[in-house]
Amino acid sequence: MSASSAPAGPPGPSRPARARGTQATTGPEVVLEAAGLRRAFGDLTAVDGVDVRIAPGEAYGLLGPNGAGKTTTISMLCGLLEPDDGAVRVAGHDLAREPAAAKSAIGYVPQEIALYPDLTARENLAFFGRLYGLRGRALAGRIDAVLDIIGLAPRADDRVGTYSGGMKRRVNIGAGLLHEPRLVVLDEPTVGVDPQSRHAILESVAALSAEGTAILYTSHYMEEVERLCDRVGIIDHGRMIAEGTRRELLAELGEADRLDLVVDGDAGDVAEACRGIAGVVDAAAADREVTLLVRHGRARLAEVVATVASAGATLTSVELVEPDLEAVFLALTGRALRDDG
Amino acid sequence: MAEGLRAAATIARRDLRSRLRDRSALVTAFAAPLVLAVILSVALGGPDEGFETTIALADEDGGSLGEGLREALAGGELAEIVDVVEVADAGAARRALADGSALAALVVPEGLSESLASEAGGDLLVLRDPDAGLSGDLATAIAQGAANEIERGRLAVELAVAAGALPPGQGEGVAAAARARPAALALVDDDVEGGLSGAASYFGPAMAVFFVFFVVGAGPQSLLRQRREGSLARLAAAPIPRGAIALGTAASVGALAFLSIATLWLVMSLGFGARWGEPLGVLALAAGVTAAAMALTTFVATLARTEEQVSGWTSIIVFTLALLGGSFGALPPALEPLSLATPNGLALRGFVDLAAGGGLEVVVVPVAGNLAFAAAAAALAAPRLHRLVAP
Repeated sequence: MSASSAPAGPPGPSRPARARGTQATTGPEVVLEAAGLRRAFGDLTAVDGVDVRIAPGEAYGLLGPNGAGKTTTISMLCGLLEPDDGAVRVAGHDLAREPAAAKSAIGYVPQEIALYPDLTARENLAFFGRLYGLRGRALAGRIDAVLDIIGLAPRADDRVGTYSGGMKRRVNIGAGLLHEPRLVVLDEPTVGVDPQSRHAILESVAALSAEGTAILYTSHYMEEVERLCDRVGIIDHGRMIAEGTRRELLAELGEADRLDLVVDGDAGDVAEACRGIAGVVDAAAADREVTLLVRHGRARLAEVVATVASAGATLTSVELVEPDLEAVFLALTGRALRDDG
Repeated sequence: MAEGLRAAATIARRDLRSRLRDRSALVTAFAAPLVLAVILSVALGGPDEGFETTIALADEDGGSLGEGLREALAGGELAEIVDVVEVADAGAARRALADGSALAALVVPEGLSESLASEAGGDLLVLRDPDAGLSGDLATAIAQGAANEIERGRLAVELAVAAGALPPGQGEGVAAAARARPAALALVDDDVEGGLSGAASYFGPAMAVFFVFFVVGAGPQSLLRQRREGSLARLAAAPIPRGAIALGTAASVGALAFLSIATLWLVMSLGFGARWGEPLGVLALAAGVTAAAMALTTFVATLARTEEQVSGWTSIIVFTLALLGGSFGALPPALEPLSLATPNGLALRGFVDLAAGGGLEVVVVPVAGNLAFAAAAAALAAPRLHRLVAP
């Protein structure tokens, strides 16, 4: 798996002071505890002093755009990559000193379909189960249980190469659950799946969390994180720029609303022009879309429409959105979450 | 340690299962070497029906007898029907018969001229391919001619005595001594397997050795593919040593290489009458060349960044080694040292000597050579080996 890269550099001028939510996890109840993680690739600092703590039964969402440092962070948390600095403890075991014990407590679900297509789902699960020390009846029992969880028992003896994308994703997750880990790390688990499979995956993750498994979840899909996660960490340029519950993070916005515009014309020019409107906290452009963070957005709507016209563009749609994590991210970074730049 | 070995065994089983379900892996390991071995054996090992032949001459002695044979082969009508291939020694002559590049051979052992001069006698070796009867007969006749020439010299002494050419009083004694001498030169006929079965005995191992490189080379390539597909990351996240991933993969491709060689051995023996020789020797040679191939292809993979690079570089190296090593036919004697510098050439030397009836002692040097080659390649690969199993 390739490591994420993030351009190092100081926060942009529009970036507000780092926001910090209440630490929900402390003491011996912590399943995952990472402190001061740092990793550089040559001159590029991909992760710079990241702390993460997750309690049993807690679902933690890690948000950030491409190249923010999410995958590098996860790679260090799962023992795939050694940090240059910092420490990771999983279920009380130091990952550097007791790697086998720490890794045994983690169920890692990579972003890619990390399965063997020429093996059946049952054979894939058996293989990964054996690597975690499962044997005999215990293994067979766990395979059956996982096949039920992911809803693929009827197709268990078909080769994975014959599955749809969504079915492969479900087996991919199932392989991370076989050994009943205390922490499940899911890296973008719903990329490219159909709505039905996505729903099934989210239901499974929610059930795991309800049963006491700690979850670390990364996704581009804000609504998934909002739906599943008790706490959210927002990472950008390799740094954790905000962390807390959804309520705590939204409180950072104050009275700001989000206005989503679609324009015919240069979205960048429109965003730049809108920054001059009183009450506009931030503006970002991607393709034909412009996202504005505006205090008392409804009252500023007319002025926004006029500004779009004055920037030489035509407004094709406008939507006033309740404050959400996307707006938090925009407020913190000056960029939309899905803006790759 | 035990957990690591158990994990390696789990990985090896999974890897082998995947390979046995992969059509291209099956073609590389079984179908392609078999088909090529059969084609080459049939094409180059057919029966001797024509009026032209090739006779190998191994003049280990470098004396007048060898010169005489050379002149006989190059003179008169023989020159029109006999192509002479000069080879270094008896071993090379046997190999020439085995790979079909000669149909009979004359071997003048080292020291024979001196031995004849001292009247101790000696053996001129004629190697015959039983399937190429005419060529063998011709070689025997030429050798017989040489023996007769020497015998004529012996009789001349007796005639000189009878004619009174020797001083009075010495004639009786010289004649008696000449009569008491045994024939100075004896012919030793030795059948060397040739024809279809002989060619099958050569090209079976040759193709097995050639394709072993592709079979084991698939191991490092699969690690690169697993990295791209993400499964290597999942293996690295499991509570197993990273070394178990490399060990398991090596065990899998090593087992497949042995299966490939064993299949060729069985089919070429049962179907084409090939004789590979002492089974323990065959296994030792297979192990040696597999180790060399594994270390070499792993070294190549540690230098490359993509699967395509590994595949391309491996193919170039493997074909070069195969050509130099004699997988597609023996090299001229002048290039033989070059051949023995390759794992293919070393292994084939061992296989040919085994097929010619050699015991386990004939595989010691080839196996040791290939293990040394493996150790050298492994030492080169070692500093970068961790890259292959890094997610």
